[in-house]
Amino acid sequence: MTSESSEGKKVTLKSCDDVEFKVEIPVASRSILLKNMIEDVGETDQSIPLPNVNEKVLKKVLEWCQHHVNDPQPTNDDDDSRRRNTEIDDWDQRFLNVEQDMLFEIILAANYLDIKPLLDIGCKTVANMIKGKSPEEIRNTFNIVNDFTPEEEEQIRKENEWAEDR
Amino acid sequence: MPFTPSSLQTFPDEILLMIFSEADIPTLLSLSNVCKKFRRLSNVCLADKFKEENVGLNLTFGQEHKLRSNVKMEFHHVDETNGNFVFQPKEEDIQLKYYHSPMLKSPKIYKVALHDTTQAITQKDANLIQKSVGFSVKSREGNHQKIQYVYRTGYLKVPFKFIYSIIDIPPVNDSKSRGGERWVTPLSFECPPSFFYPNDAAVHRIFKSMINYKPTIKKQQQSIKNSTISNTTIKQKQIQRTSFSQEPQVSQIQEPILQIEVIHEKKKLFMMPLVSSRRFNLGARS
Repeated sequence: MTSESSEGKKVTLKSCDDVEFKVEIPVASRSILLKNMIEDVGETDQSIPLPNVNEKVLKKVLEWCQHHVNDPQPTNDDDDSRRRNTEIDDWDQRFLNVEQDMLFEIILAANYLDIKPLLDIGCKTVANMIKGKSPEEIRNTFNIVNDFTPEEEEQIRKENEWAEDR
Repeated sequence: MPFTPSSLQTFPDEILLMIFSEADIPTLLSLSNVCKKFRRLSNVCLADKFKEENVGLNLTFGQEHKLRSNVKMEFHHVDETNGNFVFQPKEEDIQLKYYHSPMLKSPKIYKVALHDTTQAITQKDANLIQKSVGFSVKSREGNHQKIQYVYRTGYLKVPFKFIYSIIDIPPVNDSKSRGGERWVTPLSFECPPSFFYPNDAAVHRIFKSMINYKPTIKKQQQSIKNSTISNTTIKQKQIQRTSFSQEPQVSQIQEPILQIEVIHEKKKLFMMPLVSSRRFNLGARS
């Protein structure tokens, strides 16, 4: 526990593996979850536990928040157009040029912390990885188990019999 | 804190939907064959794509290789009970004239093709059905359906359903009725999303290229607004061509011409979205 959180401008975040980060409030407020929490609770010297985010990921996410601290807050109504039209800029591209596991963790953390722009670029990055791949390639790339069972195939074949009923 | 290696498969639906919504149509079709979860979600995205991008189908009808006409169908909705995509004609009240006669074969759907304004679909002109589909016009009235199937990925049977209504009363009263004349109104075309799945099995690719191998005549799609039938070839047979008129003619008809009512009783036959069978991947399972 730190005792300097009464500086006013900072808030302490605690990752799931008990590592604390002291973060300036505008930086933490990139996360809508934290923003609301800070607004509700007011100034506190209690650290905010983030049970879904580990140190490595939280560090990375905070790095993004720091870089984008002056971006305008996204609004709800332009949700679709924003996602469609925004290209991933160079800094973000480099930022997301990480191992697949890390990328996924960042996306999940962005979702949990409600950081829409980060979630968007994360999803876009994954979509780009998927693009143009065959089902087999997608399975291999992302380690996905084909869960279509032989029984199901049989079932489907049976269900399809009606197609012959003319 | 247990650290579970994250996989796309364990992602929450809403995130996967975000990712999938960025994908183009061929990629979505690919995703739908990865696993069950992806199939369900990619079908949701696919339906959205069809809606928002105004993607539709172009059906080519004809009888005995004559009476050719194209009907544009647009994506209408997803049948929630079975996940089927339902397409309906862009224009209302289309009437195609065919003949019921022991001397003639049934009218057919020669071609089902995607038409869209985006370049997202690469095989724009590809015929999605592997052989033409005949449908009966024996009946004099009522709604009918024709169920057929295509093969995808070599052996997966994908059904589709064409629903149409028949009337044997000519739409214009000055046309002299001839025996066996039938006016067919396409009502809907229904198919599971896998209907659009590109045929990726090698065998199938060859098969498909064989089907598509023909000198293609690039022709503008004829407008279905004015004439629903292109029957220049049989004009000399003195068949009065009754182009579809906007006003229903009452004098000769006892009932309104069009009683559009989609048949739903057989709906239960239409199954859940097809799950592709990927035999070659059996090894991936434990």
